Amino acid sequence: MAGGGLVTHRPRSVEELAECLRSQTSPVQVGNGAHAVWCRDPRTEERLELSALSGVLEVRPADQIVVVQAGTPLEELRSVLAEHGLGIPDDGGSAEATVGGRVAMNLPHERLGQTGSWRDWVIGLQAVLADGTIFRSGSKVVKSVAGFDLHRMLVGSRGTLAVLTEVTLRVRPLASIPAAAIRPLPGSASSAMTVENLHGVRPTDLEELARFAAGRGGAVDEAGSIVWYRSLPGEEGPRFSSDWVVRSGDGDRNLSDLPAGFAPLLRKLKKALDPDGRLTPGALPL
Amino acid sequence: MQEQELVRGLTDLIGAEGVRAGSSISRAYDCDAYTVDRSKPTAVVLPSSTQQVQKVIRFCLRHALPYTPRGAGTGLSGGAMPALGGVVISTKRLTRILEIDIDNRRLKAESGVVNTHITQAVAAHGLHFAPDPSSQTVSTLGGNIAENSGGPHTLKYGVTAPHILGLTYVDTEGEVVELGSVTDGFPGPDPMALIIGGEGLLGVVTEAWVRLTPVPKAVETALAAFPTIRNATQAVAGILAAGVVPAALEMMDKNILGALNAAFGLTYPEGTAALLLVECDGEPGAPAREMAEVQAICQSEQCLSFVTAQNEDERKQLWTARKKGIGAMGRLAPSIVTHDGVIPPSKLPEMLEFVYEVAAEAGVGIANLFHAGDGNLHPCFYFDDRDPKQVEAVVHAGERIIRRCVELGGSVTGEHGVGIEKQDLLQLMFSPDDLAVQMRMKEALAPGTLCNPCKVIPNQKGCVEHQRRWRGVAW
Repeated sequence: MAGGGLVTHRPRSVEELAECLRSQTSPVQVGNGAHAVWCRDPRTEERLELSALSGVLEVRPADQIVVVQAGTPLEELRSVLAEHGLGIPDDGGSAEATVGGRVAMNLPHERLGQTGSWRDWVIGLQAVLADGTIFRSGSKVVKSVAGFDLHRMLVGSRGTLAVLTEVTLRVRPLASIPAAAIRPLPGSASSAMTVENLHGVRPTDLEELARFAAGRGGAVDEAGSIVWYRSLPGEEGPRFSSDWVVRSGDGDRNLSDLPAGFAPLLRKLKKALDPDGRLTPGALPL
Repeated sequence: MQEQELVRGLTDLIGAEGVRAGSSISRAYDCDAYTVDRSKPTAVVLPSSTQQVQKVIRFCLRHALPYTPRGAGTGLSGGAMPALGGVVISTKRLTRILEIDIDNRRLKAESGVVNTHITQAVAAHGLHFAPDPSSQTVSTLGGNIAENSGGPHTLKYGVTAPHILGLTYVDTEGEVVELGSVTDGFPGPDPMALIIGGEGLLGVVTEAWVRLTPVPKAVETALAAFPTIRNATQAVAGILAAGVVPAALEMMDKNILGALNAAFGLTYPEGTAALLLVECDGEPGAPAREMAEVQAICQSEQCLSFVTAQNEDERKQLWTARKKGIGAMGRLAPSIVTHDGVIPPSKLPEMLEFVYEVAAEAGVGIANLFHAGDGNLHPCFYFDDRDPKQVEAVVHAGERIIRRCVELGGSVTGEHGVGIEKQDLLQLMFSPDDLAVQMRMKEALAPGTLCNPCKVIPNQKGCVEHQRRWRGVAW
């Protein structure tokens, strides 16, 4: 097959995307592959790409929110926000990273200890299920308890439960975004990297890990809770009962440690929302 | 099932000290703080462990009995109103603090533990449990989790969700589920996000690991009086745009001031239309710098006065305006109803104009409290509930206000939850497809129709349409 073996669908509207999912039965990789290094090779032959669902729809500085389509490059969102003196604390990862991709992956970022993650910033979204159902969750205001927080649950779902099409984010003045407490590791985009979030680790354990990390060019963030270091696939760092690990270039072992009790519930959700397992198979260890 | 048989069955399971029944019990538990609707249970159980909760739920499953979890019953949307003839599962004997882990800043508590008791247990270590709903001296951890409670400090510290690290609950199939880890920040999809704010529909939470937050080393609190609402809201916008994240930013309108004057003799500058309570906290030095910025912004919005607390006593005094404002309305009328809606903060001036109009048309008094940074509005009607016409007017006025919140791009509820109160109004925010996906999720994690039935999502099968009632009298 031409084009590297992948058939790419590039719907031009949410309705077209829904129709595409509805009318096909084959598994599909959601997204443009910008984060492929973090996920196991899904071995699917079709890709559902959202670059035509791109653009900022609303910026409301007085209300501290932005509504943006999922296919929008993160860089574009940040630059539009900056024009209004606003920002979002995640710097991105790669030039191809989209807003939908960052929300779907929810990878650690350099200000995680200080500003939280995408789960804290997503206040609403629109998404499409594998059967073509288009739905919304959340709202466009920063505080709402109307209905279940499906949008917060979908953050980090890696394209396996629904296809994100539009996201509403709470944003903040650029002035309030702290300087990154840690620097990116040199060459980290291409080299294997392990990130460990160690909130809740005893101080002595943190010291041990910090020493281990320092030997590999790592650093500890200001909140004292995140250690970044570089390691090769398969190399084991000190492990604690309370950490989670996201490994790039490490295929099957990525996200293999779900928090206690999560797997059965996520399987139930997967069964309800994508019963035929069509969406980005392999991205989550379920 | 007959009441006697039911009571005997439950007593056999968890002992007589854990079971209550009879007409006065049914009456005492027939509603929570949403008193517009009432529904009598057959029995109330007070289990003292997760295993007892599990036994009760399995009993209810065997006998097809609906059941409703209940904490302190301070909920304002009917979330703890029992199903008619069902069982109330009270958490009032689940009051143990199970583990305190100061090094890792976490604490494990049973779901019946009162919110402030968590803070009290760790205060000596300079830590606290950050979520501070107004009910916090009474409301329970389980209730705070079910409603994803907020409070004045939500602006800086978040609602309840970011402070929950793990949960233990009994699901609707009678299985005990332990969720979460000691660390937060798992990047993948988080099913706890559905249970927190799940309004007691997905099972009964019996225990939770909570995050403990350091008590800020320095606090600055100030009260600013403004000549117009617009000046006050512009000051709020200015404060947020400057990158200041106050710990609290609360606005009260002149009608609250009237109540405070009547009740406590508190006075404010002539011509005050709105008061703004601002609190900044953090490392020593930082709050004072932030407050200086806040003061400059307030002055640029023509504030009539700006009073900064010089010590803890004065700080408590300034907070009186916020904490006692609603109670003070008792001086103005026999009854109050506090509503809860959210609007984009930029829409506050036009929203308040509408609220005053609605109250005038309804012929009832109104005072407004506003979590200004979040856009969360609490219009409080004061009226005489002995007059059924006033009651009806207040209920309809509340609905008009909530509808307008949605029209302005907001939400039907910022804190109190949907429960029964806002169930039909949820359709203003969500399409049938949206609600269908919510139900799909609900049925995946919590199959069955017995756990706190007929709440939150409208038009569920087999649910009798909610009727508006006041103390049992329908109209």
